[in-house]
Amino acid sequence: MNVSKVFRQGLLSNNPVLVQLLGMCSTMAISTTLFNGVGMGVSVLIILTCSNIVIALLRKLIPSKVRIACFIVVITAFVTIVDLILRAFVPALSSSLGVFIPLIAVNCIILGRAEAFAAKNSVLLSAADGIGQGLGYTLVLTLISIVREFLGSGTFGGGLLNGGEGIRLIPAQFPALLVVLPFGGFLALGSLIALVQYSQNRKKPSPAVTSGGKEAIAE
Amino acid sequence: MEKKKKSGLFTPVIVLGLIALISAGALGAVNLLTEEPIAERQAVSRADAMREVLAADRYEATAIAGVFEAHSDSVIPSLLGYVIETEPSGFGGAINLVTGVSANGEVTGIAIISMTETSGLGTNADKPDWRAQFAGISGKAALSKDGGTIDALTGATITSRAIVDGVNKALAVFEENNLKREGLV
Repeated sequence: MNVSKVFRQGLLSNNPVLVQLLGMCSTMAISTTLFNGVGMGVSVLIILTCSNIVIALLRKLIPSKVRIACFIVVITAFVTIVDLILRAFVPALSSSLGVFIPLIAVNCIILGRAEAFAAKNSVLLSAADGIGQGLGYTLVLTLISIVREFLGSGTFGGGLLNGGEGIRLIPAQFPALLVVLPFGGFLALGSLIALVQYSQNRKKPSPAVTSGGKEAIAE
Repeated sequence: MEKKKKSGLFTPVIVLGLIALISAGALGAVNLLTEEPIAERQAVSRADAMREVLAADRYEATAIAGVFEAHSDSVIPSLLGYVIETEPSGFGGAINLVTGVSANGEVTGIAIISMTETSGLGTNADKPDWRAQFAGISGKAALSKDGGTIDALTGATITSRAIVDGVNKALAVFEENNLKREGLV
């Protein structure tokens, strides 16, 4: 395994949300505006990379009996640090994401990558994995946010552009509010997963492709 | 992750303890660095919120918790009204709300200092257009579906009710403490 392959895996072929189906709760809860989606994605990217690096550094020291507890302590420390820094220096994002920042501590992408990758690989590879997986997560959040914001609120870039109002693309009376509700989150995420699985499987029509989801677990 | 078995009970306890200790140290350091900016931000956002709901030159705390007197330096008598803080429960927890009430008992405006409502639905309560509906109300506010004048936010009736509730609490505090001063404004 080399660095660039590990990095690229996170973007599509082993995307944390679309292929490993991890971190779905935050994906659906937060992807209502572009600002929230990108902000959450970048926060997770930073926390995931830091925790991956530290866990890879400590992987030979941590006894397997208490490894999960050790991982969680490291992860929650980084989550709290990011939470405090956001509150101090990016209050707009902190108030917009609210409780979802502290909840990154229980985001299964981070513990999942710690257990499945960082605990078994070198620091360099783990860092590449953290960045790749984090970018993959950010990418999915950004895509779903754009679609849900467009269909549900009729705007683009809410919370970020045009003084926080976003650029209005559909007149206010038309957008389907349903899309902003959790129901719309399920729908948007499900459609995206189906789309990606379809395009991935079409490329290489060999029997091996059916195990697309299992690769992640076996890794 | 197969390690030698002889480590027994001690090694895991010590390793976990050390990791926890180092993490706690790092958290302490970050907290030390961010404590001041966070407190400053909160003070600034509270001051901004007060100025937004009832513009005045000075705000003075009163004996009643959460009630501030708004004073002007250029008119006599200087009392313009009150800024009252309330914490109604919304959909996702307490909403930190400030309500401006003029000396004759009319709402001058409302502002939200912090809330944890649903992103994209309940958080729309912070939009100026929606908040403006509260200006000029006296006595009791109510949603239009409850026979009042406030239009609820689409898809966020609970949040809307919570805000109405918070404004009513502020008006009740105003009433109970006989804060009304006729002919001042």
